[in-house]
Amino acid sequence: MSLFSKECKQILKSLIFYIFIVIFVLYITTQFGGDAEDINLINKPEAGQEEYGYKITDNPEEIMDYAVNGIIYETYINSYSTYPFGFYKEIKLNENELQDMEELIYRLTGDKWDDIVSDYDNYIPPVKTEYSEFLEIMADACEIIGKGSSYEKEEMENHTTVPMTYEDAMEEYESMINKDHVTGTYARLFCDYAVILLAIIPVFFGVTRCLRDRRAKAEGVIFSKSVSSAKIIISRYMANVVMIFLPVLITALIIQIPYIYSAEAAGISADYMAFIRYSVIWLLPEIMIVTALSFAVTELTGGIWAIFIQFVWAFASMLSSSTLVGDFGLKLVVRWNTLGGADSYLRQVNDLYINRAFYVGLSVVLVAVSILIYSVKRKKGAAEHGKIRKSGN
Amino acid sequence: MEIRIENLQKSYGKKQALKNVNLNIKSGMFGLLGPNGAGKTTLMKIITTLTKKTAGNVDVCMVPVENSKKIREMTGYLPQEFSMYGNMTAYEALDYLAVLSGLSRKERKEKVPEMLEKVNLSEQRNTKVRAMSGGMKRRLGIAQAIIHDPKVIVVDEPTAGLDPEERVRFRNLLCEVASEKIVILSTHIVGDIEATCENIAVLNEGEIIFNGTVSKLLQMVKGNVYQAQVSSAEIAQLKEQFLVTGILTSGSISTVKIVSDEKPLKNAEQVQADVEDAYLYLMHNCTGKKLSGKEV
Amino acid sequence: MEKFVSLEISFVKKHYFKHILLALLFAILSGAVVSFKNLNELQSARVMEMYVSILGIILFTPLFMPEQDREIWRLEQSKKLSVVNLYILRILTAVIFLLATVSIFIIIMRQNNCEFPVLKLWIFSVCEILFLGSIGFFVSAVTNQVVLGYMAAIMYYMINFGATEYLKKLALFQVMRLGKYDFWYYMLAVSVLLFAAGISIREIRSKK
Repeated sequence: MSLFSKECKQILKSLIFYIFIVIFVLYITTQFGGDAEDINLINKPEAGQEEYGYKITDNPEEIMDYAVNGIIYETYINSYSTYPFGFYKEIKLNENELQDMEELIYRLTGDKWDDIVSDYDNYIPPVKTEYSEFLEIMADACEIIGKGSSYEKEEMENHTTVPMTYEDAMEEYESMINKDHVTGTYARLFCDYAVILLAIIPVFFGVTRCLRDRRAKAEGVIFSKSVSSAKIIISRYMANVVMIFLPVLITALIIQIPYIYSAEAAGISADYMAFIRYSVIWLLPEIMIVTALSFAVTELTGGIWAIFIQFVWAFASMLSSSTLVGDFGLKLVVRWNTLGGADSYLRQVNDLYINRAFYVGLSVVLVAVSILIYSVKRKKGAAEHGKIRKSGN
Repeated sequence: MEIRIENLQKSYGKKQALKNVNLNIKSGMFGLLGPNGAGKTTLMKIITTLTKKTAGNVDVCMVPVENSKKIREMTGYLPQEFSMYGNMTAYEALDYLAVLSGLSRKERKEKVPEMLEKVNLSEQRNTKVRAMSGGMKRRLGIAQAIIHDPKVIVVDEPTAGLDPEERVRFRNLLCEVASEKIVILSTHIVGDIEATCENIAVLNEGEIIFNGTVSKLLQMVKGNVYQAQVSSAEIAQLKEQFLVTGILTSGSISTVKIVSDEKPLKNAEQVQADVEDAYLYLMHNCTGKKLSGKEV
Repeated sequence: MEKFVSLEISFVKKHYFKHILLALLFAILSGAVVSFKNLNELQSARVMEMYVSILGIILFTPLFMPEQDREIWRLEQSKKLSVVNLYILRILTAVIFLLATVSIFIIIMRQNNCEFPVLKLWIFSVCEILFLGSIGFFVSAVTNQVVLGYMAAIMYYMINFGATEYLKKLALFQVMRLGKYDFWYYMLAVSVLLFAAGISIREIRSKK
C-alpha cells in the first residue's frame, strides 16, 4: 500500500499527468460543452414538429429503400465507402465493373442506368424485388465492390436509420425520463467522447513508468531489493490506472451538474449516479487494458513500441466500426455517439458488459505477463536485456 | 556467517566471464580486485541474484542463491551505476527504496533519518537526486544498501569517479558499517583495498589469481621492491626490462619503483612494498605483460 | 563537416534506423489500408493528410533518442562540435526521408489515375506533415522526454478529428475537408519556429 501511494505521488509530480488533464478537460469541454445547449431534449416532443430525429429500423422495405438509394448514389459518383481491414477505404470501379453495377441496379429498380442519370436529381428509385432477391443482388454488388461495403447483409440490417415519427419520439422521450433519468443519456455521450482519448493516453503513462527505472539508472538497485516483482508491477499499474481515472471521474462529476439541474427544473428526478456508473463500466476497463498492454509491451521490448501498437489498435478500432452507436462486439473503442436511444442501448447492454469484462480479464492476464517478464529480467540481469551495457564488468 | 562459492562458472554465450571460481568470504571487509572486465561485476551480480550462474554453487549464509527472495532480504547492493529518480529528494529516494526492502512505515520513520545522518546527508535531505554530486549519490547508495540491516553488503566500484577527499570519506563510512557484516567491495583502485580490507581476492579474466590476506599479498614481493634515480630518458628502456610500478619525475631525473627478484640497477635500494606493487607484480606474472604503475 | 556526417551516420545506425524501418512498414502497409486508385482531389488529399501525415510523427519525434541518457547529452555538450548543428543535421535527415516518402506517395497516386494538382498537394502535404512532426520534435526537445513528444503530436492529430474550428490556420485536414491549400506557409513558418525554439529552449534550459 505504501508503494502504491508513493507511485501515485510520483505521478502527481510528473509533467505527463498535467498535460493529460489539460488535454482531457479541453477536449471534453469543447466536444461535450457544445451539447449542453441540447438540454432541450428534455422537452416533450410535440405533434406537428418538422422532425424528431432518427432511429435504426429493421423493416425490410425501409432497408431496401435506403440501400438502393445508397448504391445508386455511390455508383453515380463512382465512390464506394468500404472498411475492408478496419480502415476506411474508398473504392472506385473501372468501366466494366461499372457496367456490371448498372446491370444490378437495373435488376433492383427496373430502370436503365442512362434513364436514371438523365434526371438524377429527381429520380426516386422504385424497389421491384422481394427481400430475398434483393439480398442476392446486393451480395453480387459486394463481390464487385469488395469486402466491407455498406451493402453486406449484416451491415444493412443493423445500421439503416430512418426519421422518427411523433410516436417514436414520444417513446424515446419516455424512456429517457424513465430509464435514463436524463443523466444516463448524457453519461453515455460523455463516455463516447472520453473513450476515444482513453484508448490512447494511458499508453504514454505506461511507457513512461516502465522506462523510468532505466532512464534514471535506478534499475540495478531496484532489482536487488527484496520486494516481489508482483508487488512492484501491481503497485505501479494500479497507481497509473487510478491516477488516470481520477481526473476522468472528477470531470464526469462536474460536467453532469447542469444536466441534473435542468432535469430537476423540469420536474424529472435525475439519476445522480449515472455518470459515475457509466464511467466505471465504460471507461475504467479502457484505461485498464491500454495501461496493461503498454506495461507488457514495454517490459518486453524496453522501448517505446507500445505507443505505435496502441495507436494502430485504437485507430483500427475506431475506423473499422461502421456505426458510432452501439454494436459493441469486442471493439476496444466502444461508442454511443448519440443522445438518447435508451431502449436500443438496453437491448445491447449485455454485449457492452461482455466487452468490458473481456478487457478487464485481458488486463489481468497482461499484468500477469508483465510481472513474469519483469521477474525474468530481474534474475537474468538487465544488462543482458538492454542493449546498452556490455555484459561482464 | 560466510559466503561460500564453489566451482562457480558463468558464460555469456561463448564468452566465459567466470571460470571455476572458489571463494570463502567471512565477515569483515573483503576486497575484490582486478582490472576492468575481469568479471568482478558478474560475480557480485550472481551473489545478489541479479544474474544466474551457469554452473557451481553459491551460498550466502547457508542460503543458496537460487532462493532469491531470501538472499535479497539479507543483502544490500550498491551497483556501479547507482542513481534514483531525479525529481526525488534524498529523503524520498531513501524512503522509496526502503519500502522496496520491506520496511514498515514506522521503521522507515525511524531508519531513514538515522541512515541519512550516518552517511552525512542529513543537511541535504531535501536535495534532489539530479542535483547531487557523485559523492553524495554514492553515500545515498550506501544508505539504501544498509537501511534494512542486511548481513551482506555488496558494493561495486564505489569509489570510481570520486575526488580523493570523498574517496577517503567513503572508505571510512564503509569500514564503519562493516562491523558484524560481510562487506564485499570491488574496485580496480588498489588504494581502496589497502586502506580498508583485510582479506582480498584478485580476479583476472574470470579466474581467481590470488586469495588471501593483504599481508600475504605483500609477502609475495617482500624484499623485491627497489627504488632508484634514473635519467628520465631511460625510463622507456627500463619499462622494457623490468616491472616498473611507480615513476616520479622531476625535471630530467626520475625516481622509479621497480619490482624485481634481483637488484635491478646499481644505485637501486630496497624499499617497503605496498599493495600496489604486489598487485602489479601479480598481474604481471599472470598475464606476462609489462605493466606500468602510476606516473606522477 | 565530415565529422558531423559521421556522427549523423552513427545516429541513424544506432538510434534512428528502427524508426525509419517503422516508417517504411507504415508506408508499405498503406497498400492494404487505403486505396490509391482513381481518387479525386479531395480523396487524394485525404490519403496524404490522414495517413501519410503520421509519418511526420514517426520521423521527427525520436530525434532526441540518444540524449534520453543525460550522460550522453552532457558528453555531447562538452565537445567542441556544436550540438545545435548536430540537431539541425538530424532534422535535415528526417526532412529528406519526408520529401522522399511524400514524393513516392504522390507518384504512386498519380500513376494510379488519381486527379489532383500535383505541386500544390505536394507542397501542402510536406508542410502539413512537417508541422505535425515539429510538434513532436518541440515537445521532446523541451522536456527531453520522447514519450511526451509522441503524446503531444498524436493528441494534436486526434483533436483535429473534432475541434478544428479552434485551431484556425493550424488545423490539419484542411484540403480533404475544404479543398483549401492556403495555409501551407503558416504551417511551414510555425514548423520552422518550433524547430528553432525547440533547440534553443532545450540548450538554454540544459545549461542552467
